Amino acid sequence: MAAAAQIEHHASSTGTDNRKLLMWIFLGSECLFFGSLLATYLIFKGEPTTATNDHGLLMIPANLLDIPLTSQSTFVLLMSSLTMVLAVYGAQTNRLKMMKLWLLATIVLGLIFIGYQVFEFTTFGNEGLNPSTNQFGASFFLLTGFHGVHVGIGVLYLGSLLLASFRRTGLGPEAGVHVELAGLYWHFVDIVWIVLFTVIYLIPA
Amino acid sequence: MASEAEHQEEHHGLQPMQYVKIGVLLTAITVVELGVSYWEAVSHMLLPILFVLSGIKFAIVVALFMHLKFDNPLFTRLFLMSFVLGSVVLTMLTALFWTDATLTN
Repeated sequence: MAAAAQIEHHASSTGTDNRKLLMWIFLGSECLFFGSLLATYLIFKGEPTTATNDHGLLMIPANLLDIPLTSQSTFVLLMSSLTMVLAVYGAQTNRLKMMKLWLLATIVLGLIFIGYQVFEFTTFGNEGLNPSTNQFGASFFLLTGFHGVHVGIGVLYLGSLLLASFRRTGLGPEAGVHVELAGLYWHFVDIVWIVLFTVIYLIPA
Repeated sequence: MASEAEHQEEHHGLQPMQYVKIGVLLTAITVVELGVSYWEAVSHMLLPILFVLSGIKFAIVVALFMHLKFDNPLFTRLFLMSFVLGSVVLTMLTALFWTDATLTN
């Protein structure tokens, strides 16, 4: 009854939960944000450059991007979406142990993804590519860096939920809504990567 | 028991095993994408193939993992509207700069 009353309290004039509506509006604005960043990358990735690495190779996508490595990190992020949806299922069906387990798994997979990105950035840095090397470098680091920041924020968001779930009162009567909102954000980060992986890594210059 | 049943009704989506099968499908599509990107014989068709495959992955995650298929249609309309707008921004910007190379110099 208390849970139903609280959910009713958050209902908007559209008949939906206003927090969920707000999250979808936020994700909509993120579509425009990443659309603009992706356009910037597409504009600059083919720009002529004279910058070369230690092996004399031009600093262009074809000479630098490591597709097999990024495929592994893509797999990790896809699996984190699976663990996230299982955490949402656990929260919505009141299986709290299941929710905690899959939330933890999602956090770990998110951290592994960030680890892959740090490794890739470090490798590029060692090769001599950084945001100031050329326009490809600037737009590449901007786009994938912002995505990485989103993953990092997602990890903190999920971490805060996991910590809160260990309180005596847990996540309260609305655990399902809280975890579902975090899930929406996490899945969005995943679909952005689906697009980025195809456009940046798989489609040749 | 009543409380659990009440909570169970709140879940609008699939069962865990169905989610696992979707996860396997998403992985399989990614493997196909990777294979196709290295396959010389289809290099002239690479772009449309990759767009279709990543489009399928995108749609599966949005519809089933984000529950848009089972949720209020308002969310679907809201997201589609933003996605289309984002795609238009992307297309217009790239078209503008690709057709006039002097703008990036």
